[in-house]
Amino acid sequence: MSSFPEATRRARSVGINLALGVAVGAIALGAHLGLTYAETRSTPEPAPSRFIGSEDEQWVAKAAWTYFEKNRLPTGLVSSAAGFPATTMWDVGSQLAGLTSARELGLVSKADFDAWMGEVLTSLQRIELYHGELPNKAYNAATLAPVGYGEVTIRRDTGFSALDLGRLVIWLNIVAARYPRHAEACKAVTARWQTARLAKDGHLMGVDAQKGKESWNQEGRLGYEQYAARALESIGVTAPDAVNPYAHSIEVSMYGVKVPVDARDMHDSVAHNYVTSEPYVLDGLETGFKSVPADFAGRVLLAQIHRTRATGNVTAWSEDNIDRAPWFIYNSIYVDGAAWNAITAHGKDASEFQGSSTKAALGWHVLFQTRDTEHAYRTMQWIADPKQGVFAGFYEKTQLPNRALTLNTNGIVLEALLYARVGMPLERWAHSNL
Amino acid sequence: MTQRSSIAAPAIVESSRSWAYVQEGKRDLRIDILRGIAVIVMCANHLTAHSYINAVTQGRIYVSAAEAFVFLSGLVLGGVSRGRLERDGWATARNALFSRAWLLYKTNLVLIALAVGLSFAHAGAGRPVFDQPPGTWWQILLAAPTFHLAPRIVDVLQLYVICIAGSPLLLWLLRRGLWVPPLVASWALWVFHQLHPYALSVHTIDRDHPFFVFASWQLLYVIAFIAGYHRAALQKAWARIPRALLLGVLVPIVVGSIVLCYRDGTLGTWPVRLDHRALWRTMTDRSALGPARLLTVAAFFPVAYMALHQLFRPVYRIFGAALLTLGQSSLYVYLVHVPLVVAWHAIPGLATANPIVTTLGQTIALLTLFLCTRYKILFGVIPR
Repeated sequence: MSSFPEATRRARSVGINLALGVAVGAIALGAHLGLTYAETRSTPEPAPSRFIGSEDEQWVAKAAWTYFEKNRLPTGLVSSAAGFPATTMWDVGSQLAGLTSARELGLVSKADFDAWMGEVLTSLQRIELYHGELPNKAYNAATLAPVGYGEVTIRRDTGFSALDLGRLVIWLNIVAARYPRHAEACKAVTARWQTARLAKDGHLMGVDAQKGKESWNQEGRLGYEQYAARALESIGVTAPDAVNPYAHSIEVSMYGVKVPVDARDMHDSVAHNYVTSEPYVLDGLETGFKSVPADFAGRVLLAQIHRTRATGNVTAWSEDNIDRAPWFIYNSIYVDGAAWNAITAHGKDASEFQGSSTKAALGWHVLFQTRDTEHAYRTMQWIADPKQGVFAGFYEKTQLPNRALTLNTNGIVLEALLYARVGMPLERWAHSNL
Repeated sequence: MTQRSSIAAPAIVESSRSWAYVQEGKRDLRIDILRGIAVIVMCANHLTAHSYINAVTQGRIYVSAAEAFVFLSGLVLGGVSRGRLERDGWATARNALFSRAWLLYKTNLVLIALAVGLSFAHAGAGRPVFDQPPGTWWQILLAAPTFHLAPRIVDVLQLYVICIAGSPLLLWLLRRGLWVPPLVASWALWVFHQLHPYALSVHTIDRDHPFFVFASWQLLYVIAFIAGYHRAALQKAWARIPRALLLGVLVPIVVGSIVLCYRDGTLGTWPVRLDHRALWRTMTDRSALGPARLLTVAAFFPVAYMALHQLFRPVYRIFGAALLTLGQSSLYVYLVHVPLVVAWHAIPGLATANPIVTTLGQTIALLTLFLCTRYKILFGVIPR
């Protein structure tokens, strides 16, 4: 039996231990609450440092490159969706991005890269232009015949897309700057384009041709519009209204975040004003937010972070193919007056298929590197088959993978990994000695 | 990886008729044997290959050799430091810890310097420590001493440096009977890291995060250090717990971890739902020492310790010489294994070679490590 002083000493020791323990715990709780508050109140800013991947990222890169290898066609072009030999100029832009990244990440030898790139550029010089002006909206990637969206057998002249051409031009410029031996071929691709109808009154313009009837309309909404307009400036297309991100932008509050939105929507024009991750991610990776302010991108990201925290659903929304009808949807952070709305290109409800995109999750993460972007990316990084490629993403309702395999997803995944490796916007990298 | 003046040559319990371990002398040979097993597992896993050895040592359970090293180091240092404190006084105990941390810090820098030199000399020559030079010379010179480089294979040393450099504070608190505050602080840090991953870690220049994040991994060390300090009292308490109850709780956790790890690793698509899978990945994350991994550690080590206790004599007879030799010089073995691993990765095609070839190669490498230790090659130069 312990003596009274010893019992007192023990009680005192236990008391001090507990008191200090509670104090330490309280400090930790305060730090947690403070950091949580800071993380959800401030707009994310692009991270200044490189994101060097681990074996996981090598695994993802190899899987993405497998898509290219398995869907390569004799023309050098890659099918925009697995086993479906069609492509668009947007997708060709993603192909150039993927090819370049694979070369730099050591997934393809220099000789193979040069041969493949040569084939692609030759094909782009050979494709039949819409009315001799500009590349058609879609092509059969195996025969180079112009076709309509979603078909490869019937020849169709369907017009041209300024947005798609803008993405292609960015990558032609990057390839030309980085690899002098391909510079001439890159220039030859755009040299034969007649660009007069790509702009009017300061706006970007596109043509939609259906059954011989042509409509020439303003094209592009906030994000996509600036991304393409800035690129097209390099081939002499002047569209000052389109380049200006403030020309038509308004702010819409979502989870307390003022998300930049294009004021022009389906109610007063013929186009949807989708807000998706895609143009912001691509602009960040390629130009370092020279087309749209990084603050706009940060707020688009922050709204998605808030939704992830509020609903428990990882949110990295973008336009994407899906592995079932209607095959392509826009997971829109905002569109036509509604927040968090998935619709088809024709404006039909597709909320049943809404979900996040692998390319968006990875893109946001390499750009911003916050714990939320890391959580989203780590959650989705395994959605791939090393024998087929990286899948598009997952469906929110079922929490099952969206197994659509596309050139766009795999090209952007590789592009994001290249950005992570070089630690700078890819336009700048292309002109550097690194 | 605690300091040893020499390799113990135990007078093992020949007199005992039981297979169980009987303590003779101060040194607990069970810990040395466990550390020897951990050394072999670590080396085999770092010699990347599809081999029959790796088939057993890698990805079979949510525990790795690193957890064993960190925990056992804390346990041993806690006990040794208390003995030193009582025998030689506070200043000696404190200085011993600081000098150990300083030794590991210098060792860390030397290893990084060698790997950087290789990576600059020839592309890929520093693999797997560095795939390429991690930056320019001046960036590396600034990053290496400040833990802004976290090279593979070598990075665990940095965790040790910080843990051991912080141990005098831990010892000072324990000396005053204050074990709850450091324990709460350690758990709080771990929880904080689970909630705010990497918020407390530096941004290294060679990868996105250090792998052995201090905020999470320190928990194993701190718990073990406190346990080592109070080892006598804990052993008494441990002995009072009915073995059947203990095994009844711990063994299902270990078995469950093996089964789930098999499903996870083999199929790669379990759990099927993305939200469930994301949660499971978080729970089993090695860098963050996620909760499921921590639970597995808490169950696996006691079960392994109890199993070894019961089977000590046959284990010692068959493997004792090798395991004790390696386990009692674990820092030396760790340091020697680094160039071996680099050499392994420099041999073209070895990592993807036939399992028979890689198994043979790994066996030769492990034998080399054993012989280097057994014959004390460069013992005067390489820290132990």
